[in-house]
Amino acid sequence: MMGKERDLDAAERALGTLPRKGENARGRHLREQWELRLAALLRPIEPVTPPPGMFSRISERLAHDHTRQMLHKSRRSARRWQGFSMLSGLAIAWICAFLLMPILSSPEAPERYVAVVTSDDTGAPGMVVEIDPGRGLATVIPVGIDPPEGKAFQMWHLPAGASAPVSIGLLPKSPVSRRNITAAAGDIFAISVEPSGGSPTGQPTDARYHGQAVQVE
Amino acid sequence: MPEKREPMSAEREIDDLLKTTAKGDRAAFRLLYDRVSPKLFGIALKICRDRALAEDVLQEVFTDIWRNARRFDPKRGEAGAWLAVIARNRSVEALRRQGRGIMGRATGNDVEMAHAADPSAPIDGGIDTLTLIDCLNRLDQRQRELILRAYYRGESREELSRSIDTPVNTVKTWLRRGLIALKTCLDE
Repeated sequence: MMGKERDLDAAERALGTLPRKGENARGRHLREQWELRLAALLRPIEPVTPPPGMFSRISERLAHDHTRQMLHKSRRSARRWQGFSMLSGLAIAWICAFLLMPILSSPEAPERYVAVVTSDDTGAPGMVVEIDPGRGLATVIPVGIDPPEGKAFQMWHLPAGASAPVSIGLLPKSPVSRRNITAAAGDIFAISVEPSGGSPTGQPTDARYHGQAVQVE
Repeated sequence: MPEKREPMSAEREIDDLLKTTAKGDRAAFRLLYDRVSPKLFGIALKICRDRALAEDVLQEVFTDIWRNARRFDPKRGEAGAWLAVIARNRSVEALRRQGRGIMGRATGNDVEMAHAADPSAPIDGGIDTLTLIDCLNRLDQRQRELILRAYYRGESREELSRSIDTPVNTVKTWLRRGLIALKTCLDE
C-alpha cells in the first residue's frame, strides 16, 4: 500500500470511520499520530465534575477485574469438564460464587448479595451481579459472553414480588459499578437477546440467562 | 547550591502522575483522577449526550488508564492529550454498543463548539487548537462537517451517508480529501 493511502486509512481509523480490525504496528503508530493531532478538538470541551463516589466505583471495578479473570478461567475449565461429566450449571454457578467469597466477605461489608446469572440451556455463567447495600453499589461483572451477530445482550432486574422486570442496561464489556440498582435476596437478574440497541418494547424479547440474588455472609 | 525549582505546570504534573500510576501507585492514580476526571467526564458527556452512559464510560476510561498507563510515551505527545483521546474513543465505542439510540437528541453545533477554544484549559493537544480550527476552516464546508460529525458524534461512513443523504463512496471521497487537505495545512 502506498504511504499516502496508509496514512489516510490511519486518519480514518482515528476518526472512527474505518474499523481498526487488521491494523498492523505501523498503522497503529500512524493512527495514534492522527489521534493526537485531532485531540486539539477536545480542548474546548468544558470540564464537568463527576458525581460523588465515582472514584470508589472505579476502585470497586478494578477490584473485580481479578475476579473476572478467574471467572473466565473457571468457565473455560468448566466447558472442558462438561465434555467428560456433564457438570451441571448449578456447579458452575457455585464455582463462581466461591471465587467471589474472598472479595465479598470483608468486615466493612457484613451484608452483601450475589446473583450468578447462568444460561438456561447450558448452565454456563453470563454475568455476576454483586450488591452492596451498605454502599449503595451494585457491580455487574460480565463473564465474556457474546451476543448473536447483529444482536445485543440486555440486563434485567426483577425485584422479589414484582410483576415485570426493569431494564438495567446493555451488558457491558467489562465490570461496571452502578448506584441505580438496589436489590435484595430473592430478586431475579436476567439477560435477554435483543435487537442492536436494546429491547424495542421495554420488556425482554428473548430471556436466556437467569439467576437469583442470595445473601453472602 | 540548591537547584532553582520552577512551579510545575498542570501538563507536567499530569505527565508525572501518569508515569507514577504506571508503577502501580494508587495514591498517584487518585491524584490523577482528581486532576483530570472533570475534563474526561466533560468529553464523555459531550460525545455520549447521556449522563448514565458517560458515567459508565468514565469508569472504563480510568480502568484503561490504570491498566495501560505504562503504554504512555511522552515522546509522542502530552499525557493530557493521550488521556483525552482515551475518553473520546471509549465514548464512541459506548455509543456504538448502544446502537446509537440516543443520537437523535438535540445537539450543539460541532463547528461552533470547536471554535469555543479555551486557551487556559489544562488539557491540551499536541497541536494548537486554533491552528487546527484554522485549517478546518480552510476545508470545503462538506468535508469539514463530515470530519467534525465523525469526531464528535462517532458516526461511521454509513451513518454519515444517511445523515447528509449522500452515497457512501462520495462520503469516503470527501472525508479523505478533507483529511489530506487538513494534514497539508497542519504541516505548513
